[in-house]
Amino acid sequence: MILTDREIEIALERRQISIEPRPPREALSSTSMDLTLADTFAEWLPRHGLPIRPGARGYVYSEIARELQRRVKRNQYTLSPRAFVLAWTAERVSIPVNSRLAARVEGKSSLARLGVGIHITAPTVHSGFEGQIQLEMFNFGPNPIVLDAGMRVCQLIFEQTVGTPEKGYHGSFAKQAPGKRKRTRTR
Amino acid sequence: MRLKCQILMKGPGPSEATVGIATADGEEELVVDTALIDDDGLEIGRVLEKTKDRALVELPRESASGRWRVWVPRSTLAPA
Repeated sequence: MILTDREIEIALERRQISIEPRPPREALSSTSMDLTLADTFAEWLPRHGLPIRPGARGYVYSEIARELQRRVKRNQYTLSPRAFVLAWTAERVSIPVNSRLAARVEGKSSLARLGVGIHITAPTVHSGFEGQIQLEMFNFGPNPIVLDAGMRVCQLIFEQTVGTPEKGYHGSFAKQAPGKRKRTRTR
Repeated sequence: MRLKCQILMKGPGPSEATVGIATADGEEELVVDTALIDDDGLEIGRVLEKTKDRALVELPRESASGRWRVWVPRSTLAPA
């Protein structure tokens, strides 16, 4: 079930969600909250035709990143047509694992109609997440798009989870595997 | 619970670090928020399952190889 604006505000007040700095009330819509763009970007440099094999045994992400990833910090970033860049939300988001909430990060129509997307395949902000949300930004349009730090860049849609994830479960059955809970006697 | 880790590099994100951990079947890397790291290691929540020398844990972020849950040597764990 998706949280409405009032429920998002209640969840923030109860610290079931934490967003810092806290967005103003105007960032809310009926069922989402807008987040803004940070001033840090990470570009991938081409590897001169050599492929990257993330599924290969011995694949070491940090070596690839040291070789091919260039981080830039600037208040404006120009995303060329058919270009891809990693970016982050300015806000730190925390969804405590026992809050029974998760979220999805989605793009904004105002940017999508220009050809700009903010995630490729992984919009889920899982229960227990903490940090600035990574955005995978790409430009499908024919024109360069200037991204300004501080601009509204994405929206969070919060959803209730059914139960608490196992990693955060501290209930009376915490030490028992699923399906092996003892029956309690009743009078 | 905390899992021993080695900081391999800062970033990619402004509040992130790329860390390496030892799993039961080799090294693994993941990008995490630096708030989850202290001198004892990476905060990972509770152990999901354990054997005599291994423990199944869920990582705070998806690893570079795409895994969320990994078996790690119990010797690499420390109480939070």
